[in-house]
Amino acid sequence: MSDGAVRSMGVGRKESAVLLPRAAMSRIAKILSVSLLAPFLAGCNAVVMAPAGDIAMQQRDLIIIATVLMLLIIIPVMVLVVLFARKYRASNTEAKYEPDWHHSTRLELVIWSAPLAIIICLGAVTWVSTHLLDPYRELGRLGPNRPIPASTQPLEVEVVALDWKWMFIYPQYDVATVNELVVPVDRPINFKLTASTVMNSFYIPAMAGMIYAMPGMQTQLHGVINNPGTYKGIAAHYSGHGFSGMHFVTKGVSDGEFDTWIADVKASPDMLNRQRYLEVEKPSEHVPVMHFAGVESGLYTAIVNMCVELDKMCMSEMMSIDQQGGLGHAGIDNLAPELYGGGERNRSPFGPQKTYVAAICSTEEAIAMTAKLPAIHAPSSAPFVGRGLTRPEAVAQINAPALDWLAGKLAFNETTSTDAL
Amino acid sequence: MSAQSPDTLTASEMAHAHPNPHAHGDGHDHGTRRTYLTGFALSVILTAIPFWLVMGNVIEDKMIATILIMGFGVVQIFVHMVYFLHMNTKSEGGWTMMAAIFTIIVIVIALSGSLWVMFHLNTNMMPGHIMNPADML
Amino acid sequence: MTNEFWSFIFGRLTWDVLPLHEPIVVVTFIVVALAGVTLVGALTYFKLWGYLWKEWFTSVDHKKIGIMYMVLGLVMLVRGFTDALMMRLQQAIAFNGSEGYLNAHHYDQLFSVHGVIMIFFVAMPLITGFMNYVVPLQIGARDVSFPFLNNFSFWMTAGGAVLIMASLFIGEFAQTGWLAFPPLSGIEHSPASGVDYYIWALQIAGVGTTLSGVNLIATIIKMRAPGMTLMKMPVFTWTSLCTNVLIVASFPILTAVLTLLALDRYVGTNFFTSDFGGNPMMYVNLIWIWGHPEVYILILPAFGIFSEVASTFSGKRLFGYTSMVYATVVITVLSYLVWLHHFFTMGSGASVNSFFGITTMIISIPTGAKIFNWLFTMYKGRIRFELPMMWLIAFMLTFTIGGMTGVLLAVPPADFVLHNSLFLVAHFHNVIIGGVLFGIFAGINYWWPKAFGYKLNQFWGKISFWLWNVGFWLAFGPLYVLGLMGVTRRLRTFDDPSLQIWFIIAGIGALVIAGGIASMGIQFAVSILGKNKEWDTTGDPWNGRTLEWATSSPPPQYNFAFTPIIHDSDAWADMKQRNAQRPTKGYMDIHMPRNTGTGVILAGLSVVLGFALIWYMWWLVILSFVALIGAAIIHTFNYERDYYIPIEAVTEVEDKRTRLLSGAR
Repeated sequence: MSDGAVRSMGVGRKESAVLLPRAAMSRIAKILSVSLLAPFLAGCNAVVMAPAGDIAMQQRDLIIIATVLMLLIIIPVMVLVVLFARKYRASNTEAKYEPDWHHSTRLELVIWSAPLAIIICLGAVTWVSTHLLDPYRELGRLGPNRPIPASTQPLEVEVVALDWKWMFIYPQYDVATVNELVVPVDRPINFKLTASTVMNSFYIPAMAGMIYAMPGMQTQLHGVINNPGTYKGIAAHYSGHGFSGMHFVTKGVSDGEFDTWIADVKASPDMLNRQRYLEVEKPSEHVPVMHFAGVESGLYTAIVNMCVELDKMCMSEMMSIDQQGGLGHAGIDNLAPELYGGGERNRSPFGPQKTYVAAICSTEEAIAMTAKLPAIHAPSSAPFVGRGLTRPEAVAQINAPALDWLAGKLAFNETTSTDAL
Repeated sequence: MSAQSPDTLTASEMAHAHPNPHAHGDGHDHGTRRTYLTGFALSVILTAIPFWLVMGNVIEDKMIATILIMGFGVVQIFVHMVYFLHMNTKSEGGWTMMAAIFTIIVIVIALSGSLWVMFHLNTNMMPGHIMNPADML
Repeated sequence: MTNEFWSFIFGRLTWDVLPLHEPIVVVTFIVVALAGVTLVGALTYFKLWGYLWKEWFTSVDHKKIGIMYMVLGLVMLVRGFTDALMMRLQQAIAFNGSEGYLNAHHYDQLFSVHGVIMIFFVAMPLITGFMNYVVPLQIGARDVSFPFLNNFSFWMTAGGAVLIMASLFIGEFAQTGWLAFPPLSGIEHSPASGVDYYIWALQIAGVGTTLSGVNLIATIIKMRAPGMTLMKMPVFTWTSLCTNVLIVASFPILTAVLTLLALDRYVGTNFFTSDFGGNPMMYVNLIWIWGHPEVYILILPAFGIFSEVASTFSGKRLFGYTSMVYATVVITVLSYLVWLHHFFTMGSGASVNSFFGITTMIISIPTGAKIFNWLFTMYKGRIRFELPMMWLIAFMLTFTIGGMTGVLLAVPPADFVLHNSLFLVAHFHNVIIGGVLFGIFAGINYWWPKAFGYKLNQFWGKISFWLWNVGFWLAFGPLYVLGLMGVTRRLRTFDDPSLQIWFIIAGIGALVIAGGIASMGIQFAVSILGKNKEWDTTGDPWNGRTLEWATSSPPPQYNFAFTPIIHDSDAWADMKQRNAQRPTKGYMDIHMPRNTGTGVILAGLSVVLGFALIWYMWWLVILSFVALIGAAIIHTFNYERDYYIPIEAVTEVEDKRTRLLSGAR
């Protein structure tokens, strides 16, 4: 969606159309940042103003550009407030006093058009930069005038916000860590993010802006780290009691060091399968770094779809079934009592017993399900009186696509080995 | 005490600006039997048509049928406002009309904005949209 | 007695939920209980209960209700600020492995309750108080359109505050942040009573706010004095009208979204759960559709106060009245078009983000125009630096900075690095303290002589002014810096020792603000109890320009013996200029609404209902609900709703004023 918008604006992925103004802007920004902010930066470690990644750097430039644009009007206003307050104080009888002067078309024009002009500039900058720096957008460069070498493959990282720690899965290397993110410098990183229970926000100030991580959903973030070093990674959205301790170390390292680190992780005795994940997922605070030498295939997808427990139906599955008309009344029979989570204590006082939708994973179960379908046929096969009422045989017809899909899936299921799941 | 003097007022003028909550504001449109009956008839027709659309399976495409029914609902809201709530450009010095327009603006903004925002959020994030079920296996 | 019996009676309320294991809360409780007993004892000893009940609690006089709103707001300000002080202390010491002195359970309640109290029970009552007190006077009316409703609205707001205060000692408050985002606020992750307190306190207070909005809109539209066309309304009345339109149009959304959350929690629906088709993003979307207009609900009346102050103390007509009005109306409509800027980082994509970013920036245009209008009102004026004017200058210097950081946050890519950071926290305190609160302080100093007949003490007022201003920048300047250092909000402990110094400075700033609040308390005490009062015998201590200064200070119960006729937007300045004479005879009986205790009873029952819902005392829920409906029905049979102030009484009051005025001259 956003890509389309960018293209229609004539801004391709290569940024050709806006390269010039942006380059000019970032040059201005650099000069300004050096002169205005250098003493400030020296005083404290303002990582947002001195980041280590290209995206965050561009966001920094944008902050400076916007601030300078607004100061163009803010500073005169503040100066005038002080000047007028001094000059027209009651004790200064020399100053002009015109109690009935209350209108000037020319002044009003200035009053409205000056902020308008600035907002138009800022609006244009906003529109372009929002599209260029969209977290969903793949990187177009490693830095100013540094295109991505064709040989470079982006690093894939799957991030899970747990209570209260961060899990990082490296699908290309088949390893996973908790509370430690190590990435090679100058290699684009594609993050996919989700959460296990509540909303959170993933934020490495030195690399790029933040993005929400939400249960049952997946967000994306693209970034790169240009300078080697150790950076802070933060949970930026309050998520419960252990929130304050929920941060991680981010290390930008050379390619060689990265390979060594991967080998290190590979040497760890711990493996991340579904069962181990469910153990790690349990709420815990101030969790030390953990390494997993291997990751069960499909685990991340299962986490996004909230079906790590094998007998739970995955969200995507459920949505597909629903999209094709749903399972009808049979779907209601497919609930299992909740065994996970808080149990009875966390139940609504008037709510139904806590349940989850059970996965349909064996042919027997599917047959059992379909066997239940006739139960929703009308008790009598006599045609209904009344125009437009659904005829009994139509029920089966409506459910047919969903059942077809189910059957297909089940057939596929049988031919797939279990560890592929 | 000239006629210009703002603090002077005759008794009749005073009653006009009286704060008594029971006083009847003028400018109400109370409607007649005729307008009520017209409104009733229109409402019945506007209810009967969607009923027929559903019961008779007149339109194949469910989407079009839904949009049409919603459309009839919106028209009926206006019928109610005009014939039962006596909405017109004049009552209460135009304030009821103004309030209605503002309400419509806010509702349109909130509904269309929410749909737009939620559509984008869902497209970007919901697993059902991100991957097809076959990828699961 | 069996357990089942007790759990039937008390629901899930047991001894275990009382926070007896938290020494801080226990000490607070003892102090509050002692203070409460003392207060009740004193009221009983001086036999003031009857007076309070008859003259205040049951009063339908908009002036008294306005003052009660202000008292409520100021009392809750002390509570909310205490929470802030505790958070500052915690953040200043929780370094180098120290856990500080608050555990997560307590600290997480603190930041949630601080936000809720400051927005709903400080800022809202204070601005509603001003609107209640000033608007009828400014438009030359004798009361609001629905005087009983006004009393009821106040008590519903107070009822919400009572529930919030109860959560301190009975059970706990929400640990979710002030907007209670699900899934965290869902029953699965927050099973205890906290979120239920949040829901029902806001629902009860929300009824009051919405009804008060309806009331004031009707008042402004229907009860203006003859001659006061819309474009002759004082700017404060204009901003009040727009604020109340915003209230009426946006609070139902809050009510609806909280109802859905309550359904999720009570009957197991799945509107905002992560599974079963629920969508927590919808909650965030909906609550911000209310949440952003709410910001303008707070700031617009403050703008109105500043407009009155600017023209009064510059001794000049307001510059650009028409553009001021249009700016207000434009802000009113635009405030509905910006809500998504509160969750750019949720990831709705570039087109959506840039649209809402740009609409947000557009709002700064009318706001900027307003700042210029105040500026040019000062131009070629004769500025008297009384306290309200000082607050105006402080506001203009503080608020422009806050506005600037606000526009900065409206640039989505910038927001991606600053969202949920302390920069954001500094920004919204900058506009809410620098805008709303400074406006309220200006208003208190400006209208106090009108309400009580004497000016507030200048000396302590100035001390409070400087402490507030210095304290504000000390407290929030460091937060801007910390935001740029990538520090996010709501953290309880920190690892990086280099941050500590900034938190210590912010803590000192909060202490300075505490001094400002204390000075303000002393200012009130000295002014009320002091012997040498600056009495205002004229009713017009500041050489005011609008109608409220035309009547006596404090105004008689009926405000105006004769409804004035308006010729100009600065009605009173116009009358003074034309040397209009105050009529001294020809009085008539004045028809007034009668006091009623129904508002107190209905709100009290609502609090009981809320409390019963929170603790699952289902029998009490049914009982109080039936009683609530019953009381409302019984009230409709109350036909003694009005009375006449006899002509003799009116004449006596007015003659006294005539004597006072001639003495003063």
